[in-house]
Amino acid sequence: MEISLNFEANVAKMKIEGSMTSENAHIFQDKLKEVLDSDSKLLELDFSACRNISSSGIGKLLIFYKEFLNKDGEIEIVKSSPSIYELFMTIKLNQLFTINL
Amino acid sequence: MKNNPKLLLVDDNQELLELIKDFLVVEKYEVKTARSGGAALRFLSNENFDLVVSDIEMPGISGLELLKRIKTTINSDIPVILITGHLSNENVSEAIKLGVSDFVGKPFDSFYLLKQIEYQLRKNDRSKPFRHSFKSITKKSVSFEFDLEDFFSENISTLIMIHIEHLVHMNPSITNMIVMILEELIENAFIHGILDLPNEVRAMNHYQYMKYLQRIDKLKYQHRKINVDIFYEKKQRIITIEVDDHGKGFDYESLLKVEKSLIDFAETGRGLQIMKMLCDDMKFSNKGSKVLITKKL
Repeated sequence: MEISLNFEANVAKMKIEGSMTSENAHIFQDKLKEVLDSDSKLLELDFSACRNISSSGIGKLLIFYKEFLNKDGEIEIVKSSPSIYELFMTIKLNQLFTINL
Repeated sequence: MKNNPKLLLVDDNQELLELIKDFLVVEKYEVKTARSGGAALRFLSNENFDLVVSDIEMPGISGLELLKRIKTTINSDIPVILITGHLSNENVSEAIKLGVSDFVGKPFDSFYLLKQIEYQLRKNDRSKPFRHSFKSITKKSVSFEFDLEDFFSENISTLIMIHIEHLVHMNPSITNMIVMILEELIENAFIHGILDLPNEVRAMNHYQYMKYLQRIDKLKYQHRKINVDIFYEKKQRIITIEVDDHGKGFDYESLLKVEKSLIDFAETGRGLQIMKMLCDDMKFSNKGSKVLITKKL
């Protein structure tokens, strides 16, 4: 899995490529921590090149969401692969933030 | 991948069709174009194509209908990429169930489309040798036995993913969900069954957690095993997964009673909540050390 993270003004842009498994989900958590420690108010996540995500990866995202919300931050999934989109919709993550294909 | 893969582009917009065609021909693809779903079906009945790229919104036979007919009557192995300006959730789910390979949103970058085409062709090529044998299989099963050592020496997620891809041979969305269910169940069995970890250890960050695991006396846990049995019934399209960790179990009942959104959950129980959403049935026995999951595909 590869993760790129860029900051533009108060927007953090993160792209996840490959497979996020239980074994490497901590890399995602480290990147989310960088966002939390920054002045960003919006995190744009790009999952278009992400093949799959483990439940621990989703757990990291949800913990981050809660903390980011406390800082008045918002998350948007700007792009997602069909399998990630289907998964996120099935577990109703669209009730928490916007999810785009 | 063969030298000049043959593509079929379908769009009612002639100008766009020609633009994409010119770009792909330069990239050494053999390209045919169709201005309607009906024309595309006529081409597909008479010629072999390696991949189809189709717009969704077209008069007459829509991209979704074309996808359905390709998968059910032409050749279910042809990857289909759908181009779309807007898609409702229902249409996305329908397209995924029908076996769409990918979506490309409008307006799109030609290089992005090229990347998706290359990726789908490579993927399709890899699975070709197995396809015939998959068609004749009605039931399949695979079993694993994991011990503590496996968690340090094996990449369990990758191992599971390889086997599930070969077991169910479904679209990536289904495979992803099944792998996710398995990962969660095995992780749960590892925590409760093999190591019986207290909550404070589970709340540690990754690096503290790994340090903790490195320090434990492995000999003490070496006799503990996790058994995983996966059974796939192709005709009924049902997969059952049983995970038995032979441990003391855990308080699954109180966690299952909670009906809250994922974000309201404490650190423990979120995985179980996700399982509830992804499975059609989940039964625990032996105080929670054994779990049986059923999922209709």
